[in-house]
Amino acid sequence: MTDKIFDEFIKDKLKEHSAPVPADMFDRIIKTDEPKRRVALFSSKTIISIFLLVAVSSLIGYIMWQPSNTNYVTGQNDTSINTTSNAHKQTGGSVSTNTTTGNNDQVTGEETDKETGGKKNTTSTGTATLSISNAVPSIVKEQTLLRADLILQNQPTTISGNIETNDHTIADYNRKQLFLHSFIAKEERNTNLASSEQLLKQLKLVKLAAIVDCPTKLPRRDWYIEVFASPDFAKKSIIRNNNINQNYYNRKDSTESMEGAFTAGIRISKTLNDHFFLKSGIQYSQINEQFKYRTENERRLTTVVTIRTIIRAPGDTVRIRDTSMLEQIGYRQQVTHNKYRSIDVPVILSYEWGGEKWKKSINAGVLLNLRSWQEGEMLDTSYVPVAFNKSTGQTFKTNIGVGVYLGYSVIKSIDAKMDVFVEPYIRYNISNMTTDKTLFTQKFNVAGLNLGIRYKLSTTRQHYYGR
Amino acid sequence: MTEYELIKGCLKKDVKCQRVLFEKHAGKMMSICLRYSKDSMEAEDMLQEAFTKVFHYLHQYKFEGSFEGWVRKIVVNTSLRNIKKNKINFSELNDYSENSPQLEPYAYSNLGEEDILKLIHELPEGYKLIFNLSVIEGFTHEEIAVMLKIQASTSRSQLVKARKMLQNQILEMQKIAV
Repeated sequence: MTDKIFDEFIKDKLKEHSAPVPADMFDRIIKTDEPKRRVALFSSKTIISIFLLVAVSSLIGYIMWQPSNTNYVTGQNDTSINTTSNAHKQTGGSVSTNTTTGNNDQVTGEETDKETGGKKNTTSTGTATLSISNAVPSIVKEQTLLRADLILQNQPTTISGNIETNDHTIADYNRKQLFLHSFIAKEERNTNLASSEQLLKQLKLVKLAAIVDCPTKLPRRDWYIEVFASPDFAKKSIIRNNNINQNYYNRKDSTESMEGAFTAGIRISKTLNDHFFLKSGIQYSQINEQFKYRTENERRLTTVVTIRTIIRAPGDTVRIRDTSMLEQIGYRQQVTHNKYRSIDVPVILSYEWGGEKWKKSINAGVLLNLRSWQEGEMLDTSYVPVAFNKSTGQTFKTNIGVGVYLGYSVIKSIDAKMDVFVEPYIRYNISNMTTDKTLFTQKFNVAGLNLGIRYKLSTTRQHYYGR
Repeated sequence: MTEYELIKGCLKKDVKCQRVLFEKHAGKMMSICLRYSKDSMEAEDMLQEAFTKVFHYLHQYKFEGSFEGWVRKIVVNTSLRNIKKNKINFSELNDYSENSPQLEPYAYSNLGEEDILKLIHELPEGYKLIFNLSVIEGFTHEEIAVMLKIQASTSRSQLVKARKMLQNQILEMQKIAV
């Protein structure tokens, strides 16, 4: 306890103790750190300088490469200035762009009435809002600033402020033209500004609504290739013939036991829309079964004769002869690995949903059997093993028909083109696999777990998934 | 400026902020370095190295916990690293102090910080190190054992010896004073 008090005393005394520091200590520290800092400054400044240089060069290059606004305006807008507009054929008003002046706040123009010859000054003030019809595709909207006059001619436009809308008088129409040409003229003066948004900010005349359109409306057209393999669990289903001795079926069942099964295949997927896929391909399935049959192979009977002599008294000898039989039975165990093979064409419709990293899908469809073949042995009604294979063709069919397929996939994106997926599934065969000559009806139903890789064959296009 | 603003300024390599931050904490850290070092020259080297690391790794400070505690950790680790360059002697002195009486609080309550520092400085190397780490920094013996690659029992016995020696020295000082 005393020691603890002593320790606490020392600790409290020294915890907040300060010692004098040499005056030049900080300078020493800064000098030690300086070479690193110099490098850091140099590299960040260099990076910024290079970035600015590249940005400005790109800007200049972009502007130099762009067709001139003036040409566009005059080429596209041949009805605007001095001629009668398409919509208004009765009279023509003319506006001289030479007298156009404009500033951030107002646009002033001179309008000459053809009929009267009088001149009228028109002024529009205030901030005008130009809203564009939604019927215009997004790509056009991004260039609205340059094509405003074209749109104005073709679409109804709303301009608030002193300029009226949808007014079909020539004077109003020409005022609109004057207005637009004014800011297009400004645009010509400010051609060193690359982006439309920069111009808008400068002019403060027109505000465009947000014009970003996500390409969700574009149909999804993706092709995928899927490679998969699956460990399977096969369940054999037998329907017995009532005319046959039931012991036979019991005996037959006792000789057969399922071993592993598997499926492997390749599928091509095609998107039908954002969520639906159609998949088809080819797959190979194999179900393994063990047939174990024990037969009596040898029976050996041994006679053992034992002779014993008993001397009961001198001269009295009894000889006893024992005869015994020893039977030895030898069994022969026969193990055969039966194989049931098939090649199928899956035709599956899949509904997929999820985000960019994780997706899920429900898959349903049919498996069309192309070919089936089997080999192995089984017990016949005389309890003797008989072989079955494709050459005999009497026990099993070579085409087992259609199977119904149902699966649920969990898909993980690895990168833009490749996904991995896990798909538990069940397969239910509608038809049985035995021929009419067989004394029973047999089919396999399978549950498995597909593990696969999916690779996108089409060009990458970003998709936005509904959540 | 708040400490948060100072740290943000230091992250932007503002020399003024760095100077203010240094001056705010340098005194206490120098005291720590003096406790671990043999002399003031070594303490200055430790302090310089520690603060260079503080400014270099400042971006790793996540504003969780006390900044002073974070700097203190760096200073202590730097001091330890310097000390470990020379092999530390953990031998125990036969000072026959096991039988000396316990020191009562009134006997040392008047001691000043400089006196205590001087007494600690005069301890043998191993005693001083363990005493600093255990009593003042608050490390457990197990932690000290890991840091210095010794047994925890060595740390415990070194602390007991260090404490006893300090107490004896305080007693001697008082006798002299009387």
